[in-house]
Amino acid sequence: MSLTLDQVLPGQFVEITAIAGEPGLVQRLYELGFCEGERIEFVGRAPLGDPIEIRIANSRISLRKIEAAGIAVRIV
Amino acid sequence: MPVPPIIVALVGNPNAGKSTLFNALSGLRQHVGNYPGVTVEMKKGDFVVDGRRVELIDLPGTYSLAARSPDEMVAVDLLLGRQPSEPRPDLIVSVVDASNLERHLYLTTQLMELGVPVIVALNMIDMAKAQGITIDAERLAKSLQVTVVPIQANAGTGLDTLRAEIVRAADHGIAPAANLLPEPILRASEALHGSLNGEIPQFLARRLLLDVGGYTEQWLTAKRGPGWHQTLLDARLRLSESGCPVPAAEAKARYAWIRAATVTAITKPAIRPVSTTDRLDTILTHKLWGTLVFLALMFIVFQAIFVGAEPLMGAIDTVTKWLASLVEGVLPVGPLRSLITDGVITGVGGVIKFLPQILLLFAFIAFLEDCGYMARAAFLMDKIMSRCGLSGKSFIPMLSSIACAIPGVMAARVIENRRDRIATILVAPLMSCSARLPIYGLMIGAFLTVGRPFWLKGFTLFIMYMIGFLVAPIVALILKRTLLRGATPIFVMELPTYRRPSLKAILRRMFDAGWAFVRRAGTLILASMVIVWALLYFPNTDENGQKYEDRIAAITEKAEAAEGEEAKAEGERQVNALRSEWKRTSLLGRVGHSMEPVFAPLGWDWKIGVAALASFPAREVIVGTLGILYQEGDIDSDEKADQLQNTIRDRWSEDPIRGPYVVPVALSVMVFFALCCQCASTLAVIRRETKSWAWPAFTFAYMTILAYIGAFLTFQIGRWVVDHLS
Repeated sequence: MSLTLDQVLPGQFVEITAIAGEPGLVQRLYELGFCEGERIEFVGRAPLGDPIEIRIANSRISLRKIEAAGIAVRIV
Repeated sequence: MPVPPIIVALVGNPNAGKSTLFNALSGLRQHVGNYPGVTVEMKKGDFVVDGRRVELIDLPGTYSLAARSPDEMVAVDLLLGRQPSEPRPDLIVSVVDASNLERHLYLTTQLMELGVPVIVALNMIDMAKAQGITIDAERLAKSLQVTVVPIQANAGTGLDTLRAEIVRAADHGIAPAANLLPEPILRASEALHGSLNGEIPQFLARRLLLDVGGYTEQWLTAKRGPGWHQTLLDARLRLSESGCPVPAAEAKARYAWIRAATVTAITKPAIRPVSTTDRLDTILTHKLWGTLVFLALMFIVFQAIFVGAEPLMGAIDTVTKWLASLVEGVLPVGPLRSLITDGVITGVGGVIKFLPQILLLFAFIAFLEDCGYMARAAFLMDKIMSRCGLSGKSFIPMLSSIACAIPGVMAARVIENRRDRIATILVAPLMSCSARLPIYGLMIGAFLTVGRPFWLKGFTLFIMYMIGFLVAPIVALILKRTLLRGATPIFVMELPTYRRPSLKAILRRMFDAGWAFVRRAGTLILASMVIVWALLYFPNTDENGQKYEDRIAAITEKAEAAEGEEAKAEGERQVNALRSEWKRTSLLGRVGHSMEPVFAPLGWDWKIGVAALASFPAREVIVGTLGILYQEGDIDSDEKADQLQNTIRDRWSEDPIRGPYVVPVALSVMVFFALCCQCASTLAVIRRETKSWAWPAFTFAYMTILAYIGAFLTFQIGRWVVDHLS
């Protein structure tokens, strides 16, 4: 069972293995620097658990858990 | 023959400092361009360098040229020269953030395919340096094959070089020959382009292929039908089978090219240093502290606005009264004088009175956006807002509406998704605004203070606010499920680095927004004030054909000449009685009378009904109108206000039908005002932001219906409670 970004814990570093989802979402993710092989640091979650905040390249991005669920990752 | 100006398009990610650069280059010589069919506006400016005029267009911040909606398409069309009213840009300045170069270059590589020269403006080099990132601009220029100019827009560094490069590129620049997409994609898009017989340019044919579900695909499918659409899908399938699935293949190709081009030019520290943003965000996005700081911040801002605007509001009030008295001194009694003093000056002045609050809110919103905190607020509030069918980005616009819906509606611009934006705009007027406070004050003061528990006053006020806070999300949810139904918008959002906001930028935005409001809303406000004035003024003759004004003037003269307090008080009483009679027999008064059956289920009499009708352009007018109808004259002091409260309490309690139910009636009046959109200014701003008359009309209609139902239920339930529990 592969790990997806929404299941990662705060403080963990992961690497993207695949990106899936609705085409508009996937394109938006590419535009923001998400792509296979890129490293992500999981920073934390909002007070009610959603959305999540991550660091990728040199930017901070927030996304909803359901949007992160399409990003397959592996821990590094 | 005058030399044509150089047309330059400024393109870049949001938060790349594009606007700062635009302002630095064009100074105060800027104006806003509107485009038909979309709510996007683009700022245009110009400047002169070496005797050459340059026209600058600031395109909306975007992460790529993959357009998915008409709003996003406007920029792409402009860059391709397909915007009918706009000339094609001669060159593009791609503004990128040096700290985040690879990501920002994604858009740049797309810009390089447009067939015009591109200059990369490498911005925020200071912040990159602070993080230990150094960029060799020359190396970068060589590998990208475009001119690279390091700049720091907020300090003005590098701008002279940029200006010179713009002229050079306009004269001698060549379009980049970037061809970094894989062969299969290029061949397939050429085939697609050919099959469309030149209906769209090469670049758009490529986007058509790559952007699954994009805007070009949408309108071409609508035009050419599902048969054609299938050929597009087949082309994509073939690409996928040959190892280039879209859109993934584009991202892979671009980032690979960017990495290769930048690897020698960028030096990054091995370990990323902890930045100020990191430190701030540990608190500000923290589950507990973040929320607390957020709540505290909101509270402080609102307090500041209420407190700070008070003296200014009082000052405007004084000026209004002074102007009115000036006109009274100059013009003879009659319709013209009344039109100017009561209609224009008092009416418009009553609206201008709220301008300080509106400006302060604009400043507050601009500050939040500029410093980068706005995105954090959206992040913290997203879950709650999702429950109402919206996103965190709607939170600040709705919050601002608690003081005044006008800045709230205008702040909704940051919401990219059109349906979310409209939903936010349509419910913003429900968030109790400060113009409702006078009527709340009057009703609560009259019926819920004397002889009641001390906490009832504050509690009732709180409830009135809560009504708006509860109804707004419910209406938003209903709208998003019905009228504004559609796919859930994408939330993925960048949290920009914190930066010190520029005072100049904030003041400029405050002024721009304020001026836009006054100019656009001004006409509608003026028109509605004049109409209401006319409805309350005419007919201005009593049953004997004598003008009310003449009679009032005569009595006032006599009272001033007479001696003794008694005579003066008697004179005032007679004047008030006459004015009340006048309003009663005016057009609006008669309409109000005839509408009594409509008001009765709410527990209202014709006086409340007329006052409510007169308040439709601006709700705060109700207090003054009630003052006249209850013969108290001008409510221009606290003691007059108390007097009015007492009078209303006495009159209502005396009323045979309404007597026992005064509290339900008062509550029903307040609920009506809580839910009704009695503000021409807000409607005017909604019209401006949605570019249609349908939405403000819809807002007015649904809120009036909601208000009627709410007031009806309040009164009927209240009456039942009184009947059965006392």
